[in-house]
Parts: sequence; C-alpha cells; structure tokens
Amino acid sequence: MQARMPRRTLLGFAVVAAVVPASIGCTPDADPGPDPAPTTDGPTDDSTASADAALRAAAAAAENELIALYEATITAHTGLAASLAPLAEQHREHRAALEAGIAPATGNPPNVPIVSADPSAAVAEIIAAERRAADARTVDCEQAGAEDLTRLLALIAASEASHSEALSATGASS
Amino acid sequence: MSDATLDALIAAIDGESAAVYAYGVAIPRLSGSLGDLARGGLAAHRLRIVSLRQRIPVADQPASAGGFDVDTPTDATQAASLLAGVEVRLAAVYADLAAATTGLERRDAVLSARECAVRSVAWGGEPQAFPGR
Repeated sequence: MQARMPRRTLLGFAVVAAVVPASIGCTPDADPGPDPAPTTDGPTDDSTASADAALRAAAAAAENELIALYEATITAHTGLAASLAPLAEQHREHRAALEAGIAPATGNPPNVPIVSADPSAAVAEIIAAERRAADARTVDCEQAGAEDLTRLLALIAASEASHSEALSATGASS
Repeated sequence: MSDATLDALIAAIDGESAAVYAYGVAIPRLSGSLGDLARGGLAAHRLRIVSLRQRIPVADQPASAGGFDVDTPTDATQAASLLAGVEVRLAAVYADLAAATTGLERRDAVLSARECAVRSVAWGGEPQAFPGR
C-alpha cells in the first residue's frame, strides 16, 4: 500500500471519485489541479495504489457523512433508534474496512446534518442517502484497481442497497 | 479470458443455479404477493444464468449444476428463510465476480450483488455490513 501521497492528488481524485451526497454534508475543498485521472490502459503499480488509497479515503469520508446523518436522526427521533442503530453500526464497519491500510482522515468531522421534524420524512431522507451511497460505491468499484478493494466496494454497495430496502419496509410504520 | 475470471463466472452460474433450485422448492410454500415475489426472483435468476453462460466460450461451458443440499421447506417461513440465505450468499459470489472482471462486466456484477442483497432483505434477512461474508 502506498504510504503517502500529495494532499492535492488525494483531494483532486476524491472529488472525481466520490459522488458525495451534497444534501448531507460538504465535499472537501476541491483543488482542480492538473493531476490526471488514473487511466485504465496500463497504470503503474504506484499510480494504481495511489488511486486506490484515494478511493478508500473518499469512500470512508462518505461513510462518515452517513454515520453523521444516522446519529443526528437518532438524536432527533429516539423512537427510530432500534431500527437505525444497527444500520449505523454497519456503516462504522464499512468505514473501518475502507480505512484499513491508509492514513486516518485528518479533515474536519462532517457538519451535523439537519433532520426533518417528521420521523417518516427523516427515514425517507436516510433511504435516499443510502441509495446515493450505493450508486457512488458502485462507481467507485468500477474504478478500483486492487481485487480486495473492488470486492469490498461491491459488498458495501450491496449492503447500502439492502439498507434502503430494510428501511423502506419498516420506515412506513415508524 | 483469464482463469480467475472464468472461475468467478462459473461460481456465479453455480450460485444462480442453486438459487433457481431454491426458488423451485420454495414457491409451492408461498402464496399471494409472496408467490409473486418469488416468481419474479426465479425469473431474474434464470435470466442471469443465460447472461452469464453467454460470456463463456463453448469449450469452457460448465455442466449443469445439481445435487443441491437443501432442506425442502414445509411452510412459508422456512421458504422465505431459505431464499434470504441463498440470496445473501449469492451477493458475495457476485462481489467476487466484480473483483475478477473490469468495466461493464464489473458494473453488471456489482448491480447483481446489490439486487441479491436487496432480495435477501425482502425475504426477511437482516441487512449485513458485508453481505454473505
């Protein structure tokens, strides 16, 4: 695993790779520097490792946003804790797996999201965020280089899609 | 096609064949909307087998899988539990296929993994952080 990379490389790629839902937080301050996106026609091992590390960091940041949304929703609607807390815990597992082997995030924690006063609307917002996350991890997966990261992102995309399904089934009664 | 890709495709065909078998033994125990859900799932898995086989050269085609070790469900609860388990295991098989492919084939594998994980939850399975792992 690549030990370090220039900060700008990481951010520049993160903006391309992470379709971070704008409604649940801010994206890193983008520096659209000259760093080219990694090419698929024969990248060096180093560039693949750097790109994978950037993918991991961006996906971990997106997991942080989801965790913040879950935590804020549970705080605002304690009656939802039983259904939401186990799913939030799975996002912490996603984050830990993504951060394995890369430097821990040093940026600011995500802003506390604004949660709807209506519990059903709050659940609907989480469902929408999970769907965006599953789509974003699907795109990440297509761009991943190493097999283990590809597999991890595919599993996370599947997990997040299943969260939407679980909340759609139970959310209506909350 | 690399050996790893071929192996992953064959594993996916085996998993899909197991799913078709499981739906076949589950459907008689399911009625109403659950029966409809199961028939939809069965059709989806059959289509996936056709699609996966089309990507394998004739000389490398695997034989039809068989001899599934499945307890035939005796009621709707057992049927749903069987299908939830088959689907979530298949999600992990598709994550392996994603890792063994690139480009559109990989995208297709991830979308399949997502569909399987969603169907598992629809059958009453608990969502998992790493489905089937």
